[in-house]
Parts: sequence; C-alpha cells; structure tokens
Amino acid sequence: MVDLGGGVQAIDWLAVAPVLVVACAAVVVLLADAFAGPPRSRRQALVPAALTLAGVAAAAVPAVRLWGERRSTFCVGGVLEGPAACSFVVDPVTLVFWGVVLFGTAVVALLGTAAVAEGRTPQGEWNFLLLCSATGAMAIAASRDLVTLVVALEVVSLPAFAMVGLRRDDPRAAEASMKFFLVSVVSTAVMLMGVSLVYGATGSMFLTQVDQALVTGAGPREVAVAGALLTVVGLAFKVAAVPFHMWVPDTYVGAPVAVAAYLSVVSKAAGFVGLMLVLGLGLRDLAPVWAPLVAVLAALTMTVGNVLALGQQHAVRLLAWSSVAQAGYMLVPFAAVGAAGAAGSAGAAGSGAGGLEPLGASVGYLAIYAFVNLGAFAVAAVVGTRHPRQRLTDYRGLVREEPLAGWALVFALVALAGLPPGVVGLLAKVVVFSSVSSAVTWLAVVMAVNVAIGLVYYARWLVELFRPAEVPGRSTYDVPNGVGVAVGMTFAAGVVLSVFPGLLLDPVLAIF
Amino acid sequence: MPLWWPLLLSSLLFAIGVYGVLVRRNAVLVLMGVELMLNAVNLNLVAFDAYFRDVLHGGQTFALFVIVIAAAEIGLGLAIVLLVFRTHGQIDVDTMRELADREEPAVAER
Amino acid sequence: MTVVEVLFLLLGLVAAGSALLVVTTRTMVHAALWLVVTLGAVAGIFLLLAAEFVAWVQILIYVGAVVVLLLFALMLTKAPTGPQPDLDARRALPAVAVAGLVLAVLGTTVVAGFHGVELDLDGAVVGSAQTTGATIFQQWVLPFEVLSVLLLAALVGAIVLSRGTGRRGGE
Repeated sequence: MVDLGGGVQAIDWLAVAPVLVVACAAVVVLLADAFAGPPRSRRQALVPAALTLAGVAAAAVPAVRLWGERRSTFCVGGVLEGPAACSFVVDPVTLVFWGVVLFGTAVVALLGTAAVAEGRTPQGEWNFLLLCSATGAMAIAASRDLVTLVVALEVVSLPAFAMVGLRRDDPRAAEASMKFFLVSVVSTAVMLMGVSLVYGATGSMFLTQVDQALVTGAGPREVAVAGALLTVVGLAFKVAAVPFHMWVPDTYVGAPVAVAAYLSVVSKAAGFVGLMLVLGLGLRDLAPVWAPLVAVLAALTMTVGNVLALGQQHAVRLLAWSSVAQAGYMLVPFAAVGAAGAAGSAGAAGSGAGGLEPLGASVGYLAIYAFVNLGAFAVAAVVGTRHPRQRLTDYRGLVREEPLAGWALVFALVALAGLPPGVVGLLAKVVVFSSVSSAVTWLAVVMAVNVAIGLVYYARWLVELFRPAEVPGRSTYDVPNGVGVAVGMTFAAGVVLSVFPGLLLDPVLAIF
Repeated sequence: MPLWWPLLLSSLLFAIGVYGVLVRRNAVLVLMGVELMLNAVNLNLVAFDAYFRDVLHGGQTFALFVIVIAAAEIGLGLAIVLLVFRTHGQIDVDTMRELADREEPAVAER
Repeated sequence: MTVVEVLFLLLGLVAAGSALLVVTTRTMVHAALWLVVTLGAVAGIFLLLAAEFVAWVQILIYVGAVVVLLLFALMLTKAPTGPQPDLDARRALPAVAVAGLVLAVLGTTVVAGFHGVELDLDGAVVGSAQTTGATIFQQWVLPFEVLSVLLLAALVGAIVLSRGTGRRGGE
C-alpha cells in the first residue's frame, strides 16, 4: 500500500457549505415528497418548490458569508511537488457563479410552478432533479481538478435530461430529451478523451499542476494540444457553440419553458465555467493554440445564432437561437487571452493572473445575460399559460394587457439587444468588446456586425408587444403567483443592475 | 511494452466508437458506440497511470468514475429510450423530426 | 517479446476486432454480445496494466450491468432478433471519413508524442482493492461524493421517467 502522507483530507466545512446545503435540500425535497404522498391540493403541490426556494436561500447564507474570501480545501498535501493541489477552491469567480446558479435555480423553481395546474409534471421529482443539477453547477465552479470538474459537469447534465422529458404523455418532450441526451453523452465522451490526453501529457489531474507541467514543458506538447482541442470541442457542445449547437432549438422548444430557461442559463453557465477553468487555469500555457480556435467558434456562434434567429416566428425558438448567439459573445474574451498573455506569459507561472484579464469580461457578460435571459424566459412562461404555441403574434398587446410582464419583457429584450434603456446589457457588450478590440480586431468587427443583426429580431419582437391584441380589451392571463414573482425578481434585478452596474461589474472585472 | 501500444489501441477503439455513433440509426446502437468511446478513454487513463506510477492513482480512480458515469448514463438512457418508444413507437434517431424547424409549428396538444 | 506483450497484442486484436463487429453487425443483439467481448478484452488489458480493481469493476459493472441494460433496452423496444438491412443511415462514407480522420490524428499524435517511451510494468503498484480504496477515500473524496449525487439523480430520474402514463401527477 502506498503511504499517502496522512489520513483523511482536512475539510473546510464553511467553504463547502453552499454546495452541501443544495445537495441536502435535494434529499429533503425527495423525502418530503415520498412521505407526503400524492398532493391532494394545489397548495400542497407547491410544497416542493417552496422547499427548493428555502434550500437556495439557505445555501446563499454561507455563500454571502464567504464573499471576498479565498479558501482552498480537499488539498493533497505533502505527496506532490510543485504548486499546491486542491480540489475545491472558493474564490471570487466561484462566488459569482454561485450567485448566478442560486438566482437561476430560484427563478426556475418559481417558473416550474406554472406546471402545477396542469398536473402532468411530478413536482417533487422535478424539484429534486433541479436541485441535483444545481449541486453539480455549484460544485463545478469550485472544482480545481479534472476529475471533480468532469463529474460535476455530468451532475449538471444528467438530471437535466430527465427534467426535459418529465412532462407526462408529451411526445415532444420525450423527443427533446432523447436528442439532448444523445448529443450530451457523445460530447462527454469526446471531452473525456481530451482530458485523458491532457493527463497523459502532464501527469496530473490538478489544474495547477497541469499548468506547471505545461510551463516547464515536461510532457509531449502535441499530445497536450490534441487533448486541449478535444476538451474544447466537448465543452463547446455543452455551451452550444456553433457547430455543436444543433440540439439547442429542438430541445428548448420541446422542453417545458422552465427547463429551457434552466438549460439556457444555469446549464450553459456550468459549461462556461468548465471551459474557463480548464482553459484559463489548466491549459493557460497553450493559449496560442486554443485562443484562435475559440475565436473562430465565437465568430461562428454569434453569426449563425443571430442569422437563424432572424426568421423565427416561434418565441422560444427565437430565444433558443438568441441564446446561441449570446454564447458567442461570451466566448469572445477567450480569444484575447493568448494575445494579452503573450506579454505576461513569462511571469504567468508564478503570478495568479498572467494574461487572463479578458476572462473577467466573460464572467461579467455571463452574469448579466443570466439575469436578463431568465427574465425573457419568465415572461415566455407567462404567455405560455395561454398560448402554448408561443408564436410571436401571440405576444401582441402584452404591454397593455399585462403591464408588468409586458414591460419586463421589453426590458429583457432591450437589454439582450444591448440598447440604452437596458444599460446593463449595453455595458456587458461594451466590456466584452473592449476586451478584444485591441487584441483581436477582426473578432471585434464581427461582434459589432452581429450586435446590429441582433437588433433586427429583438426589435421585431418588441414591435409585436406594442401592437394591439387580436382580441383587444381583456386580459385572460391567469398568471400563477410563482411565475409572477419570478418575472418581478428578474425585472428588479435587471433594473437595479442598470442603475448601479458597478455592483456587479466592478468586482467581476477585478477578479483576474 | 512501448507506451504507444495501448494508446494506439485506445485511438482505434475511439475511432470505431465515433463511426458507430455517426452511422447507427437505432438509439441503443448509438449508445453502444458511446460505450466504446468511453472504454477507449479508460484505456488511456489506465495506461498513463501505469506509466506515471501516479501516487494518487488519478488515472485509475478517474477510470472507475468514468465507469460509474457510464452506468448512470445508460440507466437514465434506457428510461429515455423507453419513454420515446412509448410515445413514438420507435427509437430511430433519424426519423425524429417532430421538433424540426417549420414555418408553422405543430399545435402543442394539451 | 515478453509474455505481457504477447498477451496485450492478442487482447488488443480481440478488442479491436469485436469493436468493429459491434458497429457493423446487422443483428442488434449480436452487437450487444460483441460489446461483451470487447469489454472483456479491455478488462484483460487493464489487468496487464496493473489496474486490477478497475478490471474487476469493468467486468462487474460494464459486462454485468451496462450490457444487460442495453439488452433490456433492445428487448423492451421490440428490436427484431434477425438481421436488419436498414440499421445504418445512408451516410456510411462520411462516417468512415470522420472516423478515419479521428484515428489518423489521435494515432499519429500519441505515437509521435510517446515514441520510444517504455511502459515499465515491473514492480508497478498494482491497483488492488486496498490501494484503490485508500486513494479514493483519502485523495478523491470530493469527486466520489459528487458522484453519489449523480447516481441518486440518475436513479430517481430513470424511475420517474419510466413510471408510465397511467398515473396523472397525483390528482
């Protein structure tokens, strides 16, 4: 037997508390549902969602307590040489993602209550799977070794497959679930191949040690490059970057709106944080190789997403393509890492931030996108209660009939497009733009063109909102309370961030 | 034994798995291709673990975890395949076009 | 050539050959059975590469559980037992091209990258149950625990998805 230098790893319980609380909340929801039996009333059917919200709130407490701190735990001490190898690190990046995940989970749980009236989605299991998936998303943001990262990423996706197909007797949901499942499983296999090659080239699973091995040039570089490329491809499926996006529109349209919102925000954020950790922390030294590749992916993703969104008549499908395009904007700062890193790569090994500054823009964009995109999906859930077909023409007169939902959607669309009243969306685009404008000029130009294309379809939808309704004068929306709260939450968050953008952007841009 | 022997075998298995995923129409057969790809990954991991004499046994441990991930995927995958079979009567991935992009989307039955 | 090398070559041939049959056979059940052969041969290679515990887990979980689940899936979807002409899409050529490209790129990369590197198996620490258990619970506790969430979610998800259409959301 090997002597591993001491027994069990020391665990910093405060650092892992937010993840642990979400996982425990999942079990509580499951047990409560199992013991309570089938719900006898509408009110009782809302209990799982309430428990989910309580769990999210409870997880937020230690997360707030940790704000501004930097803690490492699950460390391997004394066995390995080189930089400290820890599996679990809480730093500002982790905390920002935790915030996004917790907010997103709360909003999605509220949106999920729209399905209560219909009685075709088992609420207990649905909320359990939501919390399990959120546990994975929380864990991935803190993971600093490839094993934990891959396992956590799988914990995000696997419950999501089931959530997509959970609505009973719905062939479209089943088909969406199957497509999502197959694409995701294949992408996981490709990513795992990449990870295994990275391990082979560097001899370690810990991102800090992988980085160290690449800087010192210990292993064969071509193997590391092949591993890096396969890993990028695998993760590109997860974040739905073109050309690995084909599952997105079908899955979003077939799934319930709440699940589509979850996939487009929390699941996508998990993919992004995985990409950011693997590329930024582990494979930083290979930035000259992967940065151009990611630049091409970003350009393709923006362009294809925006162009295909142009002709859509289906609101959720339009949001699906728009979220593909938005993923492209989020990828843009990655392209600048290599360029900025060229100057600072000499000191990169020692300092914590050699050339990674552009990634701050990506984190900021992701956080802002999360808030406004959830807002758009929340209103789509409201409209979906009356118009399950989700045609754009179904949104006519929304501003007059349901002023809160209508104006919330107006705000969300304006912010997604990056127009002035939605200051927060505009700022996010400016931040991303400035991160590459000097380093990778062609990409900045592509992005500017794309923002202009985006204006067209967002404006088309906005116009529908202000047109008179087909049957004017009466509101027949029966907005479930939970969905109403979700609309209000996202709207309020967007407005607050538009008035005080520094609240989010200042700390985020200072991370790297 | 040269280290590249198991690695080349792994590449071969991975390529065969990719072929299976691309060419098969039945969802269960596609999953078999994925299993071949995952086995190729495990072969890599175990070979590298032996090569590095990894004190943490990162490769072997990860291989174990990959096996568990595969089992979880297959378990859920079986449920999804059966769900699709119940609703569609077949599990041919090529003929699933109900969600495909059309001018006038089908009415979602309630 | 040492015994280990001969055994590896034999097992490798079996694994690759049966893997080819998995993806080309016209009979679905045969594909699952050829998969057993592939997985078994790979398990044998794990044994050669000093990964004893992984090999047994491969046999137990993959051959014992995963393949059985795949066979169940075939059975429950009323897969025909005879040969089928239309198992493959009409895109065999592009698929061969992609697979060939993958093999060429991966193969040349690993052969070039590790050319002349010997895999010395004498005196390697065998990944027995004891060693593996100790490493997992001393160094890899975190992914292990996260994995437990994965298994629980997969279990519950599979049950709730296959619970049938009869019962309406508990009304």
